[in-house]
Amino acid sequence: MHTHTGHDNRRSVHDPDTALVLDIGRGDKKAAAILVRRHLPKMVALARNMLGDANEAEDIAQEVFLKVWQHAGKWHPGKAKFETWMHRVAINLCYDRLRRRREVYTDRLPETVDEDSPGPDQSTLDTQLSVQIEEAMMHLPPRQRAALTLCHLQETSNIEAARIMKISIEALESLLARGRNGLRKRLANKVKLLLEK
Amino acid sequence: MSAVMTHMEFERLAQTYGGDLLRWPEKTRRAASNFQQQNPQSAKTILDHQTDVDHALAQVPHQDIRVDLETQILRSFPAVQAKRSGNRLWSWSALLHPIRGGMPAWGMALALLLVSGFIGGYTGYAYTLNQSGSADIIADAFGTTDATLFVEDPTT
Repeated sequence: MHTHTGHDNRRSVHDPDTALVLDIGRGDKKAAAILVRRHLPKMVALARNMLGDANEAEDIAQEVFLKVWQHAGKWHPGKAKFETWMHRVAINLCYDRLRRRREVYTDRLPETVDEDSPGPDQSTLDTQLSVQIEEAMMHLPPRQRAALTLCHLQETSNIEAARIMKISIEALESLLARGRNGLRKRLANKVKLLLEK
Repeated sequence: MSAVMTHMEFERLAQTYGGDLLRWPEKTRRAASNFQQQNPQSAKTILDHQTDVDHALAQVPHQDIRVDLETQILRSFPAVQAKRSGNRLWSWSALLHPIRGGMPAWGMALALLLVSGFIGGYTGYAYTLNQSGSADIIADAFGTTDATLFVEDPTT
């Protein structure tokens, strides 16, 4: 396997995936398998948080890696991290899918509660809380959701997240602040009700 | 980067990145920590106000990766075409690659332009290029994007 260090002295962009990408560009499926294993969880998580659907998240992840397989041969190492490109592709694919959906995302849980049923146990409450939070995220504008997913859920640095989204850091921070505020407003009453049970 | 931070800046960063200073941009942490030490009560109030959203984000569902998803993805990759051996001055695939194709690739792009103009005139429809214009035809000839090249614009 190619032993490129992934470090370009001219641009100082260290990329641990460079060697793999170069091999994938030569049609090396073993290298592709390693890259898939390395990045699949993040791709699925990103798509799941953007789309709110497990099956679609898997579809997006598959599309991303297919594009990796198809385009790895054209990659020029040193300019940016390959993972940045993958994230960008994933987010754009999610945006496309959201545009094609063009439906209003509706809440999945009923608002009414059976008064005669015994109170829910803690794990049920936790599950309901997770669902409510995921739905609150889905009601955020896609770009705010993307910013929160990258920075808070995937712990991407603000610089990297801004690069992925092709925006300034100031624009990213604006999206993060508005996203957090939107979540707070949406969750305020629902979480309070759940926590009171 | 200054090691001094104002109350307003501390609050802005908390509203942006949450109540955990470790999530703040690295270059801001020293100043933020200094602010925290010098104004413990104010800092606590500001950071505590973000706890609700931080806790909510921590509860976002995690999706387990299906066991056979990796295999499914790898199986979806099309087979790699075997590299051609021997020296050839040109090949059909080289027409789509600007570096290998050179002049033949540019000739292909021009031919596409001429053919599209002929078809548009013959059928009575004006096929107009998208906003990017002819650059997209050339880009597509080199196999870069999946962009739609033509928008049908029926004439009367």
